[in-house]
Amino acid sequence: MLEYIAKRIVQAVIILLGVSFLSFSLLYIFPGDPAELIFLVNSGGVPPTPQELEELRAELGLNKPLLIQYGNWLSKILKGDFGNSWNTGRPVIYEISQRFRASAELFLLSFTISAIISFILGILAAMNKDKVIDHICRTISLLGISIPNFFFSLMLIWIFSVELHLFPSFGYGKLENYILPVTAWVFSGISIKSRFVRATMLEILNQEYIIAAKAKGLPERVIVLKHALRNALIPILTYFSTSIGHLVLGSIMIEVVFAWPGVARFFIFSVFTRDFPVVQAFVLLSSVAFISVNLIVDLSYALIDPRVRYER
Amino acid sequence: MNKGLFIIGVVVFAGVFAEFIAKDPYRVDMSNRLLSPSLEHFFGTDQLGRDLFSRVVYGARTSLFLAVSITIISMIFGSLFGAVSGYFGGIIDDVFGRIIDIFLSIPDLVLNIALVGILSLSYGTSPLIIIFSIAFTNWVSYARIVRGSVLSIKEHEFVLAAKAIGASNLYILRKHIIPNIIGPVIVLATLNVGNVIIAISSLGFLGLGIQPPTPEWGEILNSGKNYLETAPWIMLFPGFAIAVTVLGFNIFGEGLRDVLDVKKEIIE
Amino acid sequence: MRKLLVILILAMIFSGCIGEKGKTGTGKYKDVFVLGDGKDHRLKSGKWGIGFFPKIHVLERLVEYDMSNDRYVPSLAESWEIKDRKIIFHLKRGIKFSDGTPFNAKAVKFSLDRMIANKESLAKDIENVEVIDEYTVAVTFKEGKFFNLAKFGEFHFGIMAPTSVTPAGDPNGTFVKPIGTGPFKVISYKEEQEVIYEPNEYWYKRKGIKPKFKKFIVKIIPDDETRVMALRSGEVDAITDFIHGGDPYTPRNQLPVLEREGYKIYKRNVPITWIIAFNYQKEPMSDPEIRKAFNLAINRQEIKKLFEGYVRAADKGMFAPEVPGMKEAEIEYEYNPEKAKEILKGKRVKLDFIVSKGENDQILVAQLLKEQLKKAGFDVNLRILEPGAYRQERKSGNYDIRLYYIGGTDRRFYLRLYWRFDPEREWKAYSSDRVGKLCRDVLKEFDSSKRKEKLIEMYRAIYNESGVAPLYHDMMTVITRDNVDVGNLFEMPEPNFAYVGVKK
Repeated sequence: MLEYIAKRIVQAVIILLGVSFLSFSLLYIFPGDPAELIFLVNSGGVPPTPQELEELRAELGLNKPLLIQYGNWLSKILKGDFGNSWNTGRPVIYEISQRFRASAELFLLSFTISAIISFILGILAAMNKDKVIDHICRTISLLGISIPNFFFSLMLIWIFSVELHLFPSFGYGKLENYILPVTAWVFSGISIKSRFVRATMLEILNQEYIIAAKAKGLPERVIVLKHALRNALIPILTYFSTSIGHLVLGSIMIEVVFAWPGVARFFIFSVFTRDFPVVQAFVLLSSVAFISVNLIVDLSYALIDPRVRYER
Repeated sequence: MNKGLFIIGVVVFAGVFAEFIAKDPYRVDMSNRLLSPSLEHFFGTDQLGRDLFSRVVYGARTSLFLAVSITIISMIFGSLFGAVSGYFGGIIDDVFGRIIDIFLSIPDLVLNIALVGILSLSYGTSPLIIIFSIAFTNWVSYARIVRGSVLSIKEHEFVLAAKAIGASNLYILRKHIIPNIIGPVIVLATLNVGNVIIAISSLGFLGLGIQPPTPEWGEILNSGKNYLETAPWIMLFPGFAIAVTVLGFNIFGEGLRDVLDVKKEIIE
Repeated sequence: MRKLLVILILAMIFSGCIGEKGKTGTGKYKDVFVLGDGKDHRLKSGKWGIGFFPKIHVLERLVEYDMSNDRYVPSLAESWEIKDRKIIFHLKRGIKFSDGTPFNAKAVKFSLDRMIANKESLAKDIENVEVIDEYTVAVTFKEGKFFNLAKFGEFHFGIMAPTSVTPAGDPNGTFVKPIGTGPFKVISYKEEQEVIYEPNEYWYKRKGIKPKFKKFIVKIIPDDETRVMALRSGEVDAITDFIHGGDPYTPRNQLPVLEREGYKIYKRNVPITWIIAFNYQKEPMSDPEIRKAFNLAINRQEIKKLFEGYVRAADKGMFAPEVPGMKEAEIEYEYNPEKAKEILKGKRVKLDFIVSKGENDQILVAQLLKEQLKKAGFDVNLRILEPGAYRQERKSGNYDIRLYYIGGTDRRFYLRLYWRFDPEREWKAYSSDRVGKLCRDVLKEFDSSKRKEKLIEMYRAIYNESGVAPLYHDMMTVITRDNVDVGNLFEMPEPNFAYVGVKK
């Protein structure tokens, strides 16, 4: 047991290091001199004199070997110091935490609603394979992954805000502001999740013990609710939880379209204004979130289902 | 599955034969701006009086060209990566596997946007930058599938037998491994094109994609969002184009997968 | 039936009476007025001091510029004498800053000394500021010219109270907040988010009126579309274009829609002209014939359409018609692509056109121009660049043409001439020996009729040399919900929100 936990944690740490190195090196894929890039962005396009360039290089420690720079950067990161935003001058961590709540609210609402709906929809579809409800579920799924979420969001805005004047397309704080963005997010959220629920349920329903239960003459509802569900729950919950990791930092497109004052929109703004420390932090943090959630899910999965620990 | 193929056919046809179907997508006509769809202009006109139908049709060319390039690059690189990782196993697999995990843990769009943002500073947003930025994250799905396939095939008797009689790795790869992974790879590619097209148009929508006046669906959609009251067609038609195209690839891809699964024989 | 009619009429009379009563009471207006603005007010000060909005609403200047008569008129200064390099201002008496401290010659000296200490470029040629007595101050410049006086009507020469810094009165002191004689005082400031102002009772007393609100909140919403949405959702009572001219502004394509929906649109023409600036120091734009052909190739009426007809096509000159001397110069920018082709002798000229990505409308204008120029023989390579990359290309001269603007609101007229046409300026649009000399002559000339002659000469020189390609003259809008009274909104060239009242 402990061995398994240790193994997983070590794996996670290795991956985290890899991601951190990737984020760190983003600055270096820019051909030419990173010091010059930093200077240009901060001076608004005014090129540096050779002396200013040297000063900046020394100040930022850019004349040291790459690995040492990485080490310094990493030690700061571990203390939570992501540097200061080039735009506002305030710590990146502060800027992100200011906007985190708005993203989190939107995400939690959307995630909960889409999880519930896809759970119900997926089960119903699996139980009624090839009947009407199954077709509906699969169609919604297909549409959900084919229609880009920014287009769907704009359509919602056009129909409900512009034409019908029912809901506002902008703003934050009042209940009505949440309706359209959540709807947009739920639509794409359902598409992937309900598929998985349906597929998992189908797989389990085909397994022998279910067939045995049917042979015993148990009513279908009992079979489904008592046996199948219990076994399906774990993979489904696992899957749901892993999708948290990818979405935790907000759906970029939805926040942009609805001008939602969240973290993802800030990320886009920072990319446009070349606010590099923020971009770097966002790349790193979004994967940290994913990795940590995965780790927690894996470990708790191991606690629940002992078979997992002896795998691999 | 056939419906999907049909849709793809239409889109590809539009992209390839754009000159014959549509008018000049660049031609500006200020006296005819923001016209609603009509016989003269099937999709209406945009803020500069350009025929929207033509822009959407030529946009198909842009999207398909980028998507195909990205898919080919991802497919080749990803498959090689996954094949090497799966086949040789051991430390190579450990390291390569971790690399895949690293890429899997960063949301694709985030890295795409960051890359385009950084690279466009010195190169502008050229097609090359977009292809590179999206392929940079896209190859991973191929690597994973191929690695999985290779791992499972590796243990089959005929491979072990071939090894026993002293066949070279290259021979085994060529004769046994590759024919068996082509199927899943093709299926993945078909399903993947949809995601790639959405990634391309997402970048375009954010202003980080192909720049105007070159027609690109995401960019046209973005310019249309300011005209929802007066000219909603500017937003609607490119959006439908994206959705329909992706739908086509998805339907076809799923059909393909079902077909290949049913007929799943290991090629010996 | 008749009974109903009587009741109806009685009811109408009644409500009319009640309405009348309401009008005289103070209960008519809301206590808070909320405005949506696109640019941060920079109240922490910086390289150019505070933002333009507080420069207009918190501070006042010694003089104001009357463009229709090309004159400077008294504002905080009652009168002045110009003796070559020295201007002696006689200040109005009895004026107080919003914190009660007196407006006097010491305050003027402090403001100017602070600009000098901050090395602001407009103050670089001030040699000395002397307090002669409590209401008289003498400013000596390095050179005697008309432009010296013009500077005092500029945004940047707003007079701040010495108590704006600590220690009070120290030009090198730490900036606290701007305290001025204008209609508002600063209460709180959240950078990039919100500013809260309150009416400056002393200013209102001077005007003999009462403010219609107690609190003035300005919400900073940089994205144009979002700002309009804020107006629609009621989050703000009104939105304004960038007070200096240029963007951010309310997208012109929204104006007819907003009007239809019942919002009130207030417009004022602004003497700001959007132009194509040439990289005239290298080929092909170093050839005046090619520049001339370029001007002939532009259809300015079409550009006007792009802005739903709200702007003015710049075919009668590179400055707006209300600018001194422009009408008299009788310049005509013709649209004649055939003539352009002839000048180019049938050859196709390649042009590298850079545009900054931030501005959606400019990108549309650029695409339109590209197509127009194609007809005349110019093959334009349009490069839409990130703002940082754009600035770099511009600085290094790596382009042939780019979008630019000349002017601002009225008070910027002479300053813009200086910045755009003086040969030594970093941000010039165009200069040549002749144009540069004329520009300097204009800025030196105190006599207004002689100055006008020089201006006309200068306009004609720019036109003959095809120094720039003017596109359109812009305007300024303020849009309010229908329950907002604006009073004398455009008493100055910039919108002044001091008279606004939001009805309940």
